[in-house]
Amino acid sequence: MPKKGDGTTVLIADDSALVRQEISRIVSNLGYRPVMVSEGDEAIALLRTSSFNAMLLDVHMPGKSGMDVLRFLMESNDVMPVIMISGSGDIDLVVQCIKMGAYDYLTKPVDSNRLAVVLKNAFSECALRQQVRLLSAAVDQSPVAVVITDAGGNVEYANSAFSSVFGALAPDADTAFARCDSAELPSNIRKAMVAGKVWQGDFCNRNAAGGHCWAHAIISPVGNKGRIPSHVLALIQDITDVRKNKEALLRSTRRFRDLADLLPQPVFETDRKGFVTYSNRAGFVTFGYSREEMKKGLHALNFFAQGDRSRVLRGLNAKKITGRLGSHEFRVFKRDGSCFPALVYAAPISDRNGFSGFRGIVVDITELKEAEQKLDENRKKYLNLFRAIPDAIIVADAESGTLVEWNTQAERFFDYSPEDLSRLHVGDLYPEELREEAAASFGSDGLSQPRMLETQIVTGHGLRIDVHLTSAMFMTEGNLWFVGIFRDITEQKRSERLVRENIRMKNDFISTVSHELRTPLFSILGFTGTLLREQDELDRATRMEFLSIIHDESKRLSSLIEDVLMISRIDSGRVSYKKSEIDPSVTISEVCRNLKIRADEKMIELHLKVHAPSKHLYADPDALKQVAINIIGNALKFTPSGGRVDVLLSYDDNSMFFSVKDNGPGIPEEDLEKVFEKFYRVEHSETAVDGTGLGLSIAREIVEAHGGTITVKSRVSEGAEFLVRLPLPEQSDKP
Amino acid sequence: MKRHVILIVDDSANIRRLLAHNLGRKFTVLTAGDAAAALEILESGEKPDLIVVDISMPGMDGFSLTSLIKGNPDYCAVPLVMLTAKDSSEDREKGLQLGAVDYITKPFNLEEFADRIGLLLR
Repeated sequence: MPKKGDGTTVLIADDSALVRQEISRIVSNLGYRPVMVSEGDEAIALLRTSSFNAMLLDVHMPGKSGMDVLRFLMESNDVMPVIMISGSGDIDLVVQCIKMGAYDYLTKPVDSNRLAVVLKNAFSECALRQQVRLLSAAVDQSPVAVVITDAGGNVEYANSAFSSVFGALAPDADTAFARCDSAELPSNIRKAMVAGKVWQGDFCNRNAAGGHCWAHAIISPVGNKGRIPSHVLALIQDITDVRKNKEALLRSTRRFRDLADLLPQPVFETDRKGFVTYSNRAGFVTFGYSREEMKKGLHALNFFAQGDRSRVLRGLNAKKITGRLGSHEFRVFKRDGSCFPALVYAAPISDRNGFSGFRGIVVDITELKEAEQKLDENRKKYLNLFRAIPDAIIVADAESGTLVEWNTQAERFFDYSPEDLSRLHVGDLYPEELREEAAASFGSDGLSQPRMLETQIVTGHGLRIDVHLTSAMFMTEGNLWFVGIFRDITEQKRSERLVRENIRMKNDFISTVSHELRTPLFSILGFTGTLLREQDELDRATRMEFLSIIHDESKRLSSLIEDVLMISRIDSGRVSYKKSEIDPSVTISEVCRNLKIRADEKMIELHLKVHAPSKHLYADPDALKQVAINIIGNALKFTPSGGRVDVLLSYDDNSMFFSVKDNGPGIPEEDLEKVFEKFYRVEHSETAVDGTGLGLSIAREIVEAHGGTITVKSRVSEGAEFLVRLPLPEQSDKP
Repeated sequence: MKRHVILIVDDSANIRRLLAHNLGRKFTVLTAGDAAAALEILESGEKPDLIVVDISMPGMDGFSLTSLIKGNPDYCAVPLVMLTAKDSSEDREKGLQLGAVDYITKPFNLEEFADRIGLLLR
């Protein structure tokens, strides 16, 4: 309310200057500031631009009258109090003005006391009016719906927000709440109203559009203090959106919790100090802790081994800085002390205040670890197996041919260091001329049947080795590989050659033997046939000649058969020597005596010289005799008449030497080695020599079986010398 | 009628003796112990009507002797019979290819042999 001297202005409108000044003087005296106008139009013009605390308005004025000005003020909704000034006879006009909204009236002449009272009352009335206007505007414009009912529930007031919340202004509260979905709500409100207490709560209502809306209501009884409330005030706020958001948030939270509980892996959260604040169902099940134990305080480090804890802290600190998710492998411990290997994924959680803890998941990798270990064991097993295989195995990239894998035997066999092998192309393992053939064994036809071939390889030191190669192609991880298994077949090749050689020799032997047998047989058949046919015509001398030829040829056939059988026994290893301690000089002398007749017949001088003292041999006497007969006999055979054969027997500390030297035609150098071959006879046109062609070969077999050697020295037309060396028995060999 | 002359070349003295005896009744038989001796006889001006050659002989063998004889215009027309203990078909083929008219393997029937010689000389 305006106070004296505070600049309260009072507009005075009167056409009489006398009255104006009189009132102005009183107003001034009351402490207010008077503003004067003399006409209605002037007053209206001034009121359009300025505001005043009160107005003293003359009813009668030329031009616009006081009533016109009052009408203008009422129309412009001005709350300023207007006090009409009238003459004594204008009571009807004054009543009309009061009805129009004038606050009071004064009659002329204006009494100063009365003016003071009227103005004072007008000012307080104005202040009250302004307060009510403000309140009602606030309530009217509030976004919160405001409803006032009487104690019986009849709506006495509802603001505009109410109609926007509920669609229309309901005629009474019952009708409004009757639309409520919740049956309890009206009774709750009634109870609150009857009890005269404040009620607050949410309810769901159908809105004008037929949809649902949620509202929060505060209902309170209104009444003078100490009296039974006469009215009920309801403040209703539309919380549909808030409610919806809250519900969505709740649903989402529940969904994530449910999801977490569905996970078979433990999921956890900790606070900033590391205490577990959340675990999903799997967490409790896996680790064996209860929810109560977690609530009492369970630190995350309890799950780790003492020795791992510093590593855990380091990892977490690093994550705190980077803010990123990371995983680490740990052994994690259960409540009962057992543990399992796990991958722990963790990421920091941050809120408005920054870092607030960790969130993570624990993945049990026991099975993975076991599988890994099994795989590793398997891998080792096969690697060892691969390395232990006694064949050389190499694996090469089928496209480039580079060696990528090989076993220990391959290093030994190819004679390369592992470093060298890793730089080699598979073709480098073959001799140059075989590379093309080797290259054909891989690459072109891909995954075909394993191929086998016999070829040669060349080692790091240039040595060529015959091999049997089995090769195949195989596919792993999209790459094509060549695997080659090399087996050394040198030994096999050698024995195959030996077998072939043996077969050839056997065939040659058989064909030669049959030829050698046919010649004497043909003679025998021919001469016996002739004798039978011509027995009467032939003279005695011729018959005797033929018979002796038959006899000689028969003997030759017989000794040939003996020799062949002997060779056959030797070749098949069926000869058994009956060794005993013998004096070789005795044996040799006996042979020489027997052969002396043949030498004499051919007029060959046969000399025997024995170096004393004689030593003993450990040998088969018959075999030794055979050797002497064959060698001396051979010399006699090839030495022409009038020649000479020298036999010499000598010793040194370890050996006996038996030498037979003739002065026959000799043996060409190229034939020296062949004289010991079966059926070999040195070709010389002058002399035709009888014999089986097996004697020297038998002699060599016997000498070698006794651990000795037989050699020959000769030059064409200078004779030949055969030398037999036989070892003397060592002390332990003597019986 | 003049007797046909037959030259026998064989390294076995006994075979020479046997053939000489058996063919000697119908023919005049000359013998040689090896190829060199045979060539010596031929070079001495002797012109046999038929030559019998053994294949395996020390020194020059029967095949070489045959090709020498067949290569000499003086003797190439003389029929030549190979006589051998070798009975392989390769040897037979080789002998006939070299120009032998017959190839006889030991042992054989001496009377038949004499008849065959007679036929060849007719």
